[in-house]
Amino acid sequence: MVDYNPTTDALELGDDDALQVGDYEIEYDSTESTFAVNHPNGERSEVPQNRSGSLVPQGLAESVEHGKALADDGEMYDSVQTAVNNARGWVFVGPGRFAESVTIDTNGLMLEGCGRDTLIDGETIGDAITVSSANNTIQNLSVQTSDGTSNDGINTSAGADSLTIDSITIVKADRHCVSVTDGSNHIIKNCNGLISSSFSFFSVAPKTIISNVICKSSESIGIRISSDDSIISSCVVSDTSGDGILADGGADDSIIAGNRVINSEDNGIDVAASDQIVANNRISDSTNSDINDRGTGTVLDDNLTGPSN
Amino acid sequence: MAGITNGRPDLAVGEPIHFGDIDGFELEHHPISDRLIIRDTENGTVAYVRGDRGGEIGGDGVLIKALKEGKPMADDGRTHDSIQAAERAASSWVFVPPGNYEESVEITTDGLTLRGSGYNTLIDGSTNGSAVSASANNVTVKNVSVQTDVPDGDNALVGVGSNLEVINVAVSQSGNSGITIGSENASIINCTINSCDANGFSSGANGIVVNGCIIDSVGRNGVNSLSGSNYIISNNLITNTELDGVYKGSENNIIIGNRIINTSNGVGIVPGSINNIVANNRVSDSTNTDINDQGTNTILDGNLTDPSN
Repeated sequence: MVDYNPTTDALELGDDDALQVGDYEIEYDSTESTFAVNHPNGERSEVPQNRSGSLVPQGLAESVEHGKALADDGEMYDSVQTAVNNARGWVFVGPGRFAESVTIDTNGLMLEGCGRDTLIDGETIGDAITVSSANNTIQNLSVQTSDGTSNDGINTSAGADSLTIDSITIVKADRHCVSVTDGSNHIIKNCNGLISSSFSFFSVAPKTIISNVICKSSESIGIRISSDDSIISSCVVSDTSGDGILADGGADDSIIAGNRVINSEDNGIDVAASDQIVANNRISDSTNSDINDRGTGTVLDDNLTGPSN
Repeated sequence: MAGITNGRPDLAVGEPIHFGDIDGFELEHHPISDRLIIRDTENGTVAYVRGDRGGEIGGDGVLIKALKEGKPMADDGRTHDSIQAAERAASSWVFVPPGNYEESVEITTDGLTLRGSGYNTLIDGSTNGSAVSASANNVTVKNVSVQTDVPDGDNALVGVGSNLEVINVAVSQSGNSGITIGSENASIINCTINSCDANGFSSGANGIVVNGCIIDSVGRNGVNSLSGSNYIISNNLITNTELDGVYKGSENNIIIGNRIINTSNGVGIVPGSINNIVANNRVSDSTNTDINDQGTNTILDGNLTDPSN
């Protein structure tokens, strides 16, 4: 063993030398200009000197440590909220479970993660993500909340507007998987709402597009819109205790088209608003009506329902 | 200087060690993340080897550096002073941290992905020209905002090459049109287009998809396409256009499931057009005609317009 002071000494190693750092062993090959690293598990990797800091295109997820959130100040944080608070406009959440309730209150933030490998778990703390500002994007991560909390997966509060929710898996929500109740012009797409105690997807915000979402096992309604000028398209809704899709309250002038609704314990599609288009939907196995039109001026066009299924 | 020959000094975890015969490199074992970090002290980058991923090497240094400096990075593993410089250096992708970039970016590399980090990555063509123009094929532009502000000047985003994907792009302002496409098979998905002096989207090429977009407050047509066949224009919210919401000529196009409010003609099918489908659109508050079909063999099915209420 060599007497070595890391703060004052430099090391010179020959080609045959190895260096122990923690449980790792490092060698340097001066001919190839490579570091070789012998791992504690017996594997070996080599680091070419000119590869320092390279980032492969698919490597964003690999670049952020497990349990860390990278903000655009270049720092990694232990909590998503701290990363959000320090970001100018972008946070990338690494793989891991983050037990917290995240509030986004700055405009134009993009919060993204590593798909199902990133779980923001509101637990009993609160809604997993709440948005109270404009022009935000939440993309490619998963959320959940604990039983008995009445907490949503993702929701809005006053000040939210033009929110994009893209490629989110809501593993379990004790109230709604996704609830947008403020502002307008939201886009909810490619989301997966697996278990909800109340609605899977709920919008009281005008001009909301809900497309290509899957929702199942709702203890209430699958998709409910209660404000006007919205579009529900290309969604799969199954196994709901309430309606599969409900348009009520102020949900006038909306379009419900091209959806597949299966095994609703109430109505498949329930319309209680004016001037809706309900078209090209395929509905089967509803306990009550496949389509229950209580609205005025509804255009029902080319839906497939009933015993034919 | 402690020279070691065939020695094996042990370091405590967390202690950096300068690797003697390579200028500027340090090694450190990070105990919490169980990573071996190789730091290039001259340019601030790091590469690392993760304990749980023996044999594989990642590096987050350039990403961190790009974020700290607020500079674009490319897949050459370097940061660059402009998006254009990153584009020139890239072979497949460019990542742009949040910030305002006053430049006119030309994408000339086939297959390039220009990836921003949400609404706060703003490319402002300002007086220089279009914010982004893609002359190469198979280009993807996603998660950026673009704008121009010269009246009758350049369009905000211009596609010249074929197979362009434009995803989650926000046009916040344009002195001319928002997005224009000059070549076939482009997809415009989940974009928001606001405040354009001319058209929101405009193309004369064939095989274009415009899906799930929110187009608001434009000086001419929302979607403008006099020529060009085989379009799908679906599930868009189009509001407040001085001319038509969707203005379409040519043949074999599908215009389906759009919500169109407060336009001149909601949907205008121009004389000479043949074999188009206009279905399940909800159109209201048009100053001229909700659906103005001047074409031949247009299938009009399940649309809802104001006089029908």
